[in-house]
Amino acid sequence: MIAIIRKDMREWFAGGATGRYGQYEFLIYIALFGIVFPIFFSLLGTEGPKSGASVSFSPFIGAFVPILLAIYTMADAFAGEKERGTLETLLVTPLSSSDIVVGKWLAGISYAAVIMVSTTVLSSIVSRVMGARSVDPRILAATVAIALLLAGLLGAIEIIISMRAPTVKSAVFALNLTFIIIVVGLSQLLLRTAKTIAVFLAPVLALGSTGLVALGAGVILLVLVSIALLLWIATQQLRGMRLE
Amino acid sequence: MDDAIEIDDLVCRFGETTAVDGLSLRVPRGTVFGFLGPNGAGKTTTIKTLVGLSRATSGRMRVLGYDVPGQTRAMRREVTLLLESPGVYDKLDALTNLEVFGEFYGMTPHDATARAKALLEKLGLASMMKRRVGKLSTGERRKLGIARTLLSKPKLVFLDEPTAGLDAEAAAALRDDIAQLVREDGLTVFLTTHHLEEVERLCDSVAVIRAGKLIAQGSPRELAARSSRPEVTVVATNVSDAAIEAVRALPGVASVARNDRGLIVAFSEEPNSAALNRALIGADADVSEIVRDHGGFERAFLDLVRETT
Repeated sequence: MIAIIRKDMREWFAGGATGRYGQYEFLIYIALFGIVFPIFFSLLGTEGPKSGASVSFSPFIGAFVPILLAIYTMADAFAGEKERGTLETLLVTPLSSSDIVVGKWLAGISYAAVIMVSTTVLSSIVSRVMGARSVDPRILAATVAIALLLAGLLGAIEIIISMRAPTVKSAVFALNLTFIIIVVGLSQLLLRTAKTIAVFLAPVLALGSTGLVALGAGVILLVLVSIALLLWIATQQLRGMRLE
Repeated sequence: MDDAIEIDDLVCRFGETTAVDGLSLRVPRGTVFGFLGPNGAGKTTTIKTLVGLSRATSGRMRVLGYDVPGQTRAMRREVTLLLESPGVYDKLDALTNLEVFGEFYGMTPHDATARAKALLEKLGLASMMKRRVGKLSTGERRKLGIARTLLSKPKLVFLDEPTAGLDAEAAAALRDDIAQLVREDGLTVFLTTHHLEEVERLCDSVAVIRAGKLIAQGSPRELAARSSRPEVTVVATNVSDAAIEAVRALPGVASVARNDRGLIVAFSEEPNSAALNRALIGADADVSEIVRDHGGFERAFLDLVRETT
């Protein structure tokens, strides 16, 4: 597994996840979301001392935007290898299918995490320098953790899609389509059953802080189990492809 | 010792198409085996089935003593594959590429680096080991692909058209490299190619398939002797239709055709050049040279493929 993680990380840090900006790609993302955006928002007056905003929101953008990058790296996991003619070579190595799948997922998450943490920390500092109110570090840490969880979940879905997609573009397109269908479907459901949801939410809101923490832990556990299940499905798919 | 590859009655069907049709083969260990056939004959499908990338419809396969697909994982420790694409990572440099594959095959970083440097040196790529693969020429990428397949010291290597897309000089150089490396490492090579001089140069034995069926097997010399018809090129002027008829009437002449130098005469038995010369002179042709063409493996292969069309 370590061999796959090292290979993918070397590739991304050497040539970028999207391949558009070469070896400096990750630095460009960090500079864009960690420095340029906070300065831009401050100059626009949407955050900073004159904005009236209670906190700076650039760090939150810095935490969540790299999710897109994580999705792109996962889309590249198998579809990219297929496009570049390296997939068959990889599949006939003695690496186990679980090592390949989990290794690729961990590599994608690690790459996104490096950028997420860097942009979040940098944008907090830049926002503060530009005069915005600072954000509680615990809230920022929780935000990065939630963003990572979300990236992990979407990344695991994308890995399954990537195995079947002929190109990276089609893998990303398929995930976007799935995402849109889920969002539209959920929003329709919420609109139609708003009263029912309020009825369901009432006891949740009445749980108090301890109850809410327990609920949050439950949700995190559910996401982690979902990720594990998705990676297991991906491993089974790969074992089928390799006749193991 | 058992054979490196044993195939019994292999059938691969994809919907209505039968890519491999009842193929049975034995490839002895430590030999270079040429697997030949025209495009679409089923060569790549056979290779992919042998390495467990494609499922056979029926038949039995053993690779290095491992059942395929039952023991593919264990088999893959000792087998490497070079398909039409060199299978290397464009964003990484040549040395890192090989180090990465060394790790995939469980080599220690130190061993992988040492072996990678030695192979790059042997293949004339030492000066570009730190160059990104995306910036290498097609020939250099092919060589790197060969280095990749040999890195882990496998017992069996599948090379699917290793010199495809190379110019004649680069192809000849790569052939020499493969021959040298195979000799040094004593491994078994399963080679497919459309370059027949490659087969004569490298292969100990050959199998020819067409439409998924085995049509001939033996050493290149045996196949050349078995299938090729002797031909004679006559360099002559003033060759009339009467001269051609006189040649056709000679015993053992299978066919006569004009070309820009004179005639090409194919025989079904050992040619009699003296009788041919007499017949042409008797018909007032001006003969300046009669050249016996021994046919060779290329003609034998073409004859085999045409005969079964």
